[in-house]
Amino acid sequence: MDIRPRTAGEILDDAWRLVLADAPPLYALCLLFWAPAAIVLLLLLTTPTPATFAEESLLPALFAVLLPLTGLASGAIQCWLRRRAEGKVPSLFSSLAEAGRRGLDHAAVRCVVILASLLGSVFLIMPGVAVWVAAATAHTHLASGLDTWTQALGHAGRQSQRHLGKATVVALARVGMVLLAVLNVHGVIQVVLWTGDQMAGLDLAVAEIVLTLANPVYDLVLFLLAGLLLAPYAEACNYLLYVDARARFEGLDLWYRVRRVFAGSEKGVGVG
Amino acid sequence: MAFCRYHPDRAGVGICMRCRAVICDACRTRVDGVNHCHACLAALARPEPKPVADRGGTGAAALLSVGAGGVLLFCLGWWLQGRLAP
Repeated sequence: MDIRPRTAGEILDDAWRLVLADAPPLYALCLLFWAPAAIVLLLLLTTPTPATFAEESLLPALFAVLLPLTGLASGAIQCWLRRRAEGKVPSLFSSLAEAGRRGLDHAAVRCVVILASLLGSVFLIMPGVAVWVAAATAHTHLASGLDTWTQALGHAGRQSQRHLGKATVVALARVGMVLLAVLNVHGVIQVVLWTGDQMAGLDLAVAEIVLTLANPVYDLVLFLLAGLLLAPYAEACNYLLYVDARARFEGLDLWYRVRRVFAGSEKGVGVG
Repeated sequence: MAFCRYHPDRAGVGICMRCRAVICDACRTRVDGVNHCHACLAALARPEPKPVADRGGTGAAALLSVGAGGVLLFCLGWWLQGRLAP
């Protein structure tokens, strides 16, 4: 991967290339943590409240455990992308192990960002969006291994302030993509239903009633599916945002070049 | 006339992109048409600082945040329970 400054369009474009180049492992890392959380959220919202306290607290407890763990998915994907950029060969195990070593920090960042975004969105939408945009690169900073979780949040916030327009465009473009993915998945399902009904002669009346946008459970499934499909892309966007800011303001591209040139020299003597 | 920061007897021919120091031809390295001084390149080539995990990070604070966050998420989950149930 090319380490260089990028425009917002290049970030959104190159993120696809990064994801498509390593799609199976990136989706595996993502699904490992996001799929259980999505299933629990779905069950939590759609299952009628049980009678006993123990049964009633099972799904909220699982939700409270699994949602912070999705931070590890972000961490592992960031580790994978960083290793790729360094010219090393990443593996699922090494990325997971690297993210796992900072697992508590990744979980803490995910907790803080989700709760702060929700809290911000309760009063007005804008504060929630601002928190979400500001913390976009927090897991990337953590994966760099140089920041504690509080420093990672602070550095991510300062970095997004430096190029606020670009960070906002990249973050909000992903919302548009999720909506587009929802419409596409819904379109595909409707085509399959129509084909099954009209051309194969199957009795799909119940499915046609259930699988409509008027059904909130179906809408939720569509949004969760679209979110899962685009999760690695979102991480790739965050990584490229981080690379862009560091290349522009700290010369990360030059740093990688110097590393490559003086790979054999421990002290870096003889530079210049 | 400006003189090199590292060789005061030599005329400056450029400015380092990173530290903005005036540098002479001997101190100058051009990368993609941009000047860099030897000190900045040497700083870039230094070994990386130790990762936070090896320095004994802020485990207690992270644990506390995850715990408090978990409790809040549990409450949120409790509130959300059965909201879309038939």
